[in-house]
Amino acid sequence: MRKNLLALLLAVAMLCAMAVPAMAEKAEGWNNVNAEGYEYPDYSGKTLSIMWWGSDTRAQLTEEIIHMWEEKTGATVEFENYDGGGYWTVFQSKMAANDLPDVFQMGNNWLTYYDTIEPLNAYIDDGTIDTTAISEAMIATTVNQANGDVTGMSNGTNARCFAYNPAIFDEAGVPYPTDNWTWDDFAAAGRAITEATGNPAITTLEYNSLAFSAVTQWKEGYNFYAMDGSDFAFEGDIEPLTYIIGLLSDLQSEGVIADFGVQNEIGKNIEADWIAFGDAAMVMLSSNQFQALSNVAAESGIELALATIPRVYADGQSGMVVRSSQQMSIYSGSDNKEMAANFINFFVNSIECNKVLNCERGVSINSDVLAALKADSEKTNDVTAKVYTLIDLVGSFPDAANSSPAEPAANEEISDVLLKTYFQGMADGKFADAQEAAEKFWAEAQEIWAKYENQ
Amino acid sequence: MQKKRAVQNVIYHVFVIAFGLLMIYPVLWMILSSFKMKSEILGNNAPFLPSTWVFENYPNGWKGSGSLTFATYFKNSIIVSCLGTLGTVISSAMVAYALARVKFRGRKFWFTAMIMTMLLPGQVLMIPQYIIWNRLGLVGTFVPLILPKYLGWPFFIYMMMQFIRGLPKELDEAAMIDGCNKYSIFTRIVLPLLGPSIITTIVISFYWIWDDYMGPLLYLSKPALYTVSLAIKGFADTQGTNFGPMFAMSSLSLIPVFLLFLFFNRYLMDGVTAGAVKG
Amino acid sequence: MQAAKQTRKGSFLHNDNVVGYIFAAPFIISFLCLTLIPMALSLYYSFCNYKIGAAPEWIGIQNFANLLKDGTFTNSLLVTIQYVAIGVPLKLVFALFVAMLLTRPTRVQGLYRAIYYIPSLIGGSVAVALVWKQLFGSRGPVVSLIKALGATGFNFFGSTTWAFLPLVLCNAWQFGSSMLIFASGLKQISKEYYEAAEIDGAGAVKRFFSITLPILSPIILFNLIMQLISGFMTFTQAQIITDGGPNYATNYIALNIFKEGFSFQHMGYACAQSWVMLLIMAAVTGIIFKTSSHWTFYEN
Repeated sequence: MRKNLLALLLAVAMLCAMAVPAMAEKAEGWNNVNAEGYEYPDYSGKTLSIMWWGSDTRAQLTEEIIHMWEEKTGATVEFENYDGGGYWTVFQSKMAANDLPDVFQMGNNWLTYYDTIEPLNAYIDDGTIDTTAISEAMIATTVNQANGDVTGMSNGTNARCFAYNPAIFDEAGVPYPTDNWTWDDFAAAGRAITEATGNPAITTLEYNSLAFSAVTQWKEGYNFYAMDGSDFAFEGDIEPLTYIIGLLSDLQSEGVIADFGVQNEIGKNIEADWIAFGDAAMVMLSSNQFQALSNVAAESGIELALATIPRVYADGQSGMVVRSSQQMSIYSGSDNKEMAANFINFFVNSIECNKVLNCERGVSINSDVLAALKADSEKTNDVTAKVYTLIDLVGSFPDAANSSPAEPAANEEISDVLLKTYFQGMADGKFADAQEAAEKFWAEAQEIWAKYENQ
Repeated sequence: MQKKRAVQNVIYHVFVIAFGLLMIYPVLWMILSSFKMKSEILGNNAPFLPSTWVFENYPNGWKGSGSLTFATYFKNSIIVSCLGTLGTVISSAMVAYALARVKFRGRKFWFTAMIMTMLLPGQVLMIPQYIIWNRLGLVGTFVPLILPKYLGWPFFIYMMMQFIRGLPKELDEAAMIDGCNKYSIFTRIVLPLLGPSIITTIVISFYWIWDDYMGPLLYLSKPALYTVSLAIKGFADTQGTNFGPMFAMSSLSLIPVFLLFLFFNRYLMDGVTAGAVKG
Repeated sequence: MQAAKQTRKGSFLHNDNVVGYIFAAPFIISFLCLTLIPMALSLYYSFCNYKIGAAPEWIGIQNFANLLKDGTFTNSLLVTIQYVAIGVPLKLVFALFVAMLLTRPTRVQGLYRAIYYIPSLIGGSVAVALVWKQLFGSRGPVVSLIKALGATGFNFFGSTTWAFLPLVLCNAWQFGSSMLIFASGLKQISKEYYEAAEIDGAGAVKRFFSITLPILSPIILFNLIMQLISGFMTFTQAQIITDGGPNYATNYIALNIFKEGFSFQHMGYACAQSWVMLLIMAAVTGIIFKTSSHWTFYEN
């Protein structure tokens, strides 16, 4: 109800905006920060507040570009940064107190915090946020498909994928993954490697997203969640779930996939993964973690490569998606929305700014920025080049825009249950077979979904 | 007899040292890791000693992120911990005295209330408390971290109560006869006799405030006010963690609390013989 | 004495009630201003469908009814009780043992105590999580030892039966504050008791049971109550070392509450869980307080 009202108001506002002639006169791309002779707006005496999560490296880079922007506009920027876990606690406290900063970093869980987010449509339409060098597909990574609201501008994109160690593949005499390798290829490669090395071939997996990918891959038109995040979208066909639960559980019981003990030891530290020390051949990760993993591996002289997620049918759907790794959003209660939009415009589009950030958060969505970075050998090394190649490849898959950018509010709980109750329960012998686990999971997922419907 | 005592002594020291080494192994591991490169910190068969000593972790960690160094964070931690500890000691001793020694109406009620406050998980109180501090306009200052410490800390109140209850009541009565009132009994009799538990309160509360992460996370809001505990967490991210600098700063952060312990521990030992097995 | 009492009776400031409230004022202020409202709110929310940032909607006892059917919640209660039942006595006995061990007057006593106290200074840091995962990891020294003894395919963090053990040991390992409190309690015991006992020919064991334990009993009660509470609330280590897994084996109640309230957006439900937990803990501490009069000895 409230959202509908918001959409209506927005529509009215947009109509008004169009009716004002001064707006219409502005040329397309008038706010392109990279244009020669571009003049930054003057915000002397004004203050903008910003919040993000990430490591100290990110903090350093982000602070640098904040000072850059302060210098150009005369604004004062107050910023806060936290580690990824603490960030959401702070965010929810500030949300409860209606005291969020003007601009904040947001994840794919934006549907959960929808009321705090100002749609950017008006700023994009009037050109304040310049999108002349950003493709529709890239903007779509942060669009609410239900109503067309742009919830933020992506700071960079990534894709879930596999990193592998080609040297171990060679040693075991297994061919490298192809762009459309299948789960059968994956299982065969894993088994051969484990046989050759005596170690689990595969360590960490993101089980829930693999299960969701399998649904997408199963049949055209299938998705675990609907595009707009409003429902499930696979007609309750549990065959793909049975398939993936069965396959991964079998591989784990054979020792091809490391047991959950090892996976828990590695936990969220991708850099502690066995693949970085030559003890495993494949690991699943997000492409923006590849740099950190490669850095550790390089200390032991290991060079890693990237591969796609295996498919159910070689000629079928990829089940992969280029997604926004994180985005900058404007607080709906902000008093400085126009200034905030200008900051985001600078953050996303400025080549000068992004030469500092250098896709630390993910691959830039602005094609001019990306071209400038790729052309600069100081900014693009072998590792980042592999990430760019992978993102280009995934972007070229016909079904890459096929999956929902929105994680429904229920996703967090459904994913947690899928991993801990069902995948870990399979390993613990709590279910007779994959069929039973899949059935029970599907029943519970619907129950969880209903809880959020009523909220 | 002499010989038996010597043998006992040797056994005692060997046992205490061997067991002690086992105890501090993880601490040594952390300190040594602060001189290692990442693959040796995280690797499966990482050596105990660094193969090459990476001293740069210390300057790299110290420079923190952006314009603020760990000098700022240490300064903030010291301010918050010192002021907070002072408040904890004063207020907790006062409240403990009232609850343990003064027979006022409602004493049982307040004692129960105090225990109850400890039984709800902080996770569900966090947001309402945040809103209170936010309404008061004090988010973004040290006040929400320091002021509550001047209003009694249930853990230490209860601890001191137990110590006060261990003091002979005749002391109070004798002091009364000598012309003391309830106020001077507190300052002249109870406080001096509370010595060991006050020292304990100082050592433990200083460390707990120093190590606190949730409070600074919620209430500081400005990098210039961040404490060491919060800044150290800032090294970690799913997209890559700077482990070396992180352990370097974690190791440095041990020093103030350790020195404080060494300084005050003397007062906990002097003349200690209680429970000691003689001979 | 009688005269002294009478002169004071007249004075308002020396009335026991006034003195009591003056000294207890700090706590009363903090209770009324900072704790009471949040506690009352959390009780109210426990009867609501409430998500942080949204308006709470009254649903009566629905949350509590759902709790009864919620296997994850029941499981988290059970594993928490297991953790408390094993972890708390272990830590207390250990802390008392070390405190006694280190009261032996030697020149290096200070050094010894420092060594045993340092582990408690690294708290719930990332370093602890990492070193614990390496120590008890599938290729770590502990598992290697167990494997050398003949067990195959064993590992802690993948086992629903054994994953709790590294956490319990980690908690016991950080026994420093309990040890300090015991140590200062031991210091308060007058030497004369021991001298008198020795003259009576009491041996070390007898001295321990007839002097040390009774006089220390208020402190033991204190440490017991506090460790019980912190055991029930255990959070950080389970979060950073096992994240509640595997298969919910270490999904302790505080962790579950945090997940429900913050990750899953069911703050009302999380509050209901908290209040059930409060009732359980109140019952346990109440029983201990009631029985404590039989085994704690106060000077008065």
